[in-house]
Amino acid sequence: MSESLLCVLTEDLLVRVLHHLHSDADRKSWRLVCKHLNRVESLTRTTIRILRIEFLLALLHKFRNIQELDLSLCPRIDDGAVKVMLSQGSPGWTRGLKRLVLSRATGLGHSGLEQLVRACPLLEAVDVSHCWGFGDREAAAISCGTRLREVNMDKCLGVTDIGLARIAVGCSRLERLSLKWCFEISDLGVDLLCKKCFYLKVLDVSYLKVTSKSLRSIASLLNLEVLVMVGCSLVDDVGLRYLENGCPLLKTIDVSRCNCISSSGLISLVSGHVDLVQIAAGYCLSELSGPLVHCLKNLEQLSVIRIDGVQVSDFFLQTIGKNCKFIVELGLSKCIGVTNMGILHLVSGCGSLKILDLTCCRSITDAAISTIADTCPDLVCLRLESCDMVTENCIYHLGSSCLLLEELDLTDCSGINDIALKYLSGCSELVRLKLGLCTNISNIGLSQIAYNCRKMAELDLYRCVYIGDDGLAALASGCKKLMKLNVSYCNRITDKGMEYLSHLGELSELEMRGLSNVTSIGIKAVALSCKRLADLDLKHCEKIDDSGFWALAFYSQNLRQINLSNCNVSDVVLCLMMGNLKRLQDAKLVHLFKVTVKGMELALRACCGRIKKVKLHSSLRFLISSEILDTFQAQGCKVRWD
Amino acid sequence: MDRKESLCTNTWTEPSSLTNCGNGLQTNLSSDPSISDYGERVEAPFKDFNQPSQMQSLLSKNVIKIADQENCPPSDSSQTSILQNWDASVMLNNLSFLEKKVHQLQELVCLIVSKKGQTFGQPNELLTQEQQLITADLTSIIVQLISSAGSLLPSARHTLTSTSPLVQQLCQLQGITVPFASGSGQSSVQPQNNGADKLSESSLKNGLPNNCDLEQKYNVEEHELKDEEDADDGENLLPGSYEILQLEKEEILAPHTHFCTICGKGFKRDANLRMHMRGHGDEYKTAAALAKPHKESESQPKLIKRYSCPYAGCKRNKDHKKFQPLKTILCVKNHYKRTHCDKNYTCSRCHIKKFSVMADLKTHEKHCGKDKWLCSCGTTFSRKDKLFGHIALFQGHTPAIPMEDNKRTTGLPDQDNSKAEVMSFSSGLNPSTENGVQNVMDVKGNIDDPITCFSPLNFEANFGGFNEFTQPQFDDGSEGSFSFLIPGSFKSGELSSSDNVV
Repeated sequence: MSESLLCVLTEDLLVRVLHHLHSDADRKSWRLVCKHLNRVESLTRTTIRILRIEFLLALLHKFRNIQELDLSLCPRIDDGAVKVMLSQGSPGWTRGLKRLVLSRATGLGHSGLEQLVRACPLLEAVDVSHCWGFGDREAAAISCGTRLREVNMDKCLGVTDIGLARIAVGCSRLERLSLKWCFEISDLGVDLLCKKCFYLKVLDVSYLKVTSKSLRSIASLLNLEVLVMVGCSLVDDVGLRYLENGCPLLKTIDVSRCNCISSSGLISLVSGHVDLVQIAAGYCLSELSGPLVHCLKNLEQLSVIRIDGVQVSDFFLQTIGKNCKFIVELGLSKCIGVTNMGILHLVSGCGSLKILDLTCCRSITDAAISTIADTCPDLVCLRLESCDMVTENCIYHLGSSCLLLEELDLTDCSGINDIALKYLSGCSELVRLKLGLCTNISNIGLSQIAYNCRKMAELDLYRCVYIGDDGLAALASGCKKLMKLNVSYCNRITDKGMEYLSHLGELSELEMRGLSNVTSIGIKAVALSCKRLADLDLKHCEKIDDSGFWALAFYSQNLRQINLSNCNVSDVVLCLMMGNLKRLQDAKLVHLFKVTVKGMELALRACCGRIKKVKLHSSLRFLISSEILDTFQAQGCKVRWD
Repeated sequence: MDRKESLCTNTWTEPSSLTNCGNGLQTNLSSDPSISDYGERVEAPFKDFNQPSQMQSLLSKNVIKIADQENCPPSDSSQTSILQNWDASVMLNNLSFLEKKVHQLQELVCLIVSKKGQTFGQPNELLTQEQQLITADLTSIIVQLISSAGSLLPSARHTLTSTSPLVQQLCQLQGITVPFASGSGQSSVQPQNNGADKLSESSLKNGLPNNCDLEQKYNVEEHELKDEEDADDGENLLPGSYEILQLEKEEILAPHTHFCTICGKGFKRDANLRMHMRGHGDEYKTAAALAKPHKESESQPKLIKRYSCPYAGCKRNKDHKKFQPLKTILCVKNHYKRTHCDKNYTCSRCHIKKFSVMADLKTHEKHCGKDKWLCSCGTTFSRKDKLFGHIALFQGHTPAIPMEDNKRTTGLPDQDNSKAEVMSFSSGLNPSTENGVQNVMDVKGNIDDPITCFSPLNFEANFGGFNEFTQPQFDDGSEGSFSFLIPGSFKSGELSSSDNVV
């Protein structure tokens, strides 16, 4: 790039241009242009996600204005690493930090967490979800962040009421809090939280053992807008009645899988909040009663309703279609009683529908789908898994009318064939397409999709047995942005097909279980070229031998998750892989016939400290030395025994 | 009045009322200055005391039945049993019996008068004994008199009991005198006393577990009722719509209210007394004897009874401007002890908390040392909800998280310490109880108490108290060590025990 051009493009202009680049790949290209652009990018960048701990200090030094630091994908974040980060890193990086993502940072202890939180004076959000070892001490560490507005503690299994009380007292400005799966928290903790944090807007208490008493406390929150309480099986209608008169700003409620609530509870809730926007009540009612439907009629603002697994009637769909004109998303997954007639009534009123989930509504036929396609031009997402009666006829309507369609799930729709795919290729915006178990499609249909849907990022071809190398060739040339691909049990695929796949530079997740015709040559090609590959499933790929795994060990340095179950990997190469793949965090190592106990032990030692989750055969439970298992436990690595 | 005095007054209360009844029967008992003196003084409280429980039940009791079951010495039993059937000849028989007894009584009183004349002013031990003998005889005769006199009136009972004060008085007297007279007959008091001593001793040895059981049962009840004292605050009874009774402090502090008529052992509850009576012979084992004296006074409209605290100026005192009555005698007892008495029971674990009601101490000791819910301000709580209530109330307070390493290493020594404390405490308690008994004895000696059979009672009471004291200690100790072994069980145990409290 010539200097003159840079004279024209001043820094502020460059910053503006940069703002329009969203994907990581584009930004990477930008950085590679020249030093100047690289500098602009590094100065304006506000979020970084660290993938390797080796580069942590350098990156912190380079990006001085970051507001969000994501360490969730970084292995070996422990107290020592935090100490180094804070003492040897450039001193300024914590100054502006507002958001800290420590999800799955299972190796971190409470002292390191506390240092980190204390070092960031402006910290507003902390995410420690899925740190399963975290308990009250860690919660107490988080509570040092007095400016915190958002805390996510999903699946911090050790957190009790005491820990929650620490956070409630310490972070009184809290606006968003998620406590999903913190099983130890009870009514007492929730009650105190509601007394101390008046500003709460979003609260997730899913799967907690809380009762209706908690809802009485929650009802006193005047600012609450979103309440998620999936699977609170101790909450009953009494609790919902408390909500009827509380939470005046409530907009979204999720009571899915709350087994003890009934229509009458929901009626009281709905009648107290006529401006509800979202309702999710899947798997908590057996059927929608007449009075409840009557109540829903009054919700004019309603835009999202999900009632999965409930028996519905045409009357309900008709009522929704007539009264809720602003419905954008409707979830009827596994609902019994959804008929063509009901769908016709529904869509006649809801023209603005964008997301429709009809999973397992088996009585739906082409007529209904065609009507949907014709009346809902804005449709973005349609899920039709297991709708057997769907054929190419309705796909024709979809392909010609729903040009904005981005996501389509046709899993297990046996009526889908190559002609249907040809029609579907009219939806050029398709990003996610699921064709698993559509056994009637072949390379020809896939080629149509591949050449026309160039934005495709996610494709599921699970058990599409007629798909072979030619189909993959078409994918490789057409869908350059493909990131996720599932070709499990597509047995016609050979090494040649894998070589085609290796041209997909963005590919990060590849599931290729049971590809019995793929050998080391094929996997070597993928390992060499697909640099972004992070998630690889090789279960039952029995023809791949050590040379293939060796290639993975040396070239697929970004591998984060691998499934090697039932593979022919030997002791030496397994150790090599586990030692060499520095980003590996999750390994499934079941039924490795060639691997001895000693080899397994060495492999585990090699990855010890980095890995966060490992699945082993249960027979190894007492064969592997307890010392290793203790170390794993201490470093926050979970061992699953199969 | 200090404690010693109160005790002796207590023991005097009932015999002195007995002398009163003697007055009512035109006998010359009042010549004994000390007795009459006491009699007049204690008359009022005696009435109050009897009204709630004893008199109530006695009013409705079949008088003859009582006489039959409890009073009469074996020699008279045949006579009295015939009396049950109303018959003119029986009546005549009865009257002559009465006449005989009255004469007997007269002779006795003459004897007393002559003896008093000789020894008055210079009492010594020998005289005291004689006097005791005479008084006991007198007592038994009076009882027989009353029982047979009462049996004369069975047909008139229904109409008379409610109207005639004389009959009421009679019934009342009978109720009171029964405990002292029965079983003694014409025999001397001294052997009986020995027997009582032996009995109580044996009951100490053999009946101990049973006794403990009863005590504990009682404590449970007391505990349940404890909150009632506070609960009745909300009760809105119009003044005047209920009857106010006021017990004197001596009665409130009396350890027992039900006494064995044979050995004199005291009990807190009538049911326990009835169980105890089984040990005195087969006649007490009949279903009728063991059955609860049932109340048949459904027809009579009962006036609601409420109690007043004798402490002047107390809100529970009837003279207080905003008087709030107490619901039951137990409420009175607990209220008085908690509010107006010294806190004599110290927790053996923390040595800080003191209580005046034993049940309170036991409740505390159940949780003492388990105050693991700690606030940042240093306050500890035995229950999590209490801690959370505290945190919700005070700005900036937050729960403290104990160091887990310390918990493990210090757990064992802690337990050992507490056990050692229990040991030292129990050994240290013994002398003090003995002293207590000594004092009681001394007091009695001074005032020439005619019925020394009370002393074993007092000892028993103290011993019972001692048992109460140590029993939970041991329980707690074992529970604590168990919880140390299994960390998970600590929480659950804590929870369940707190549930019990609620």
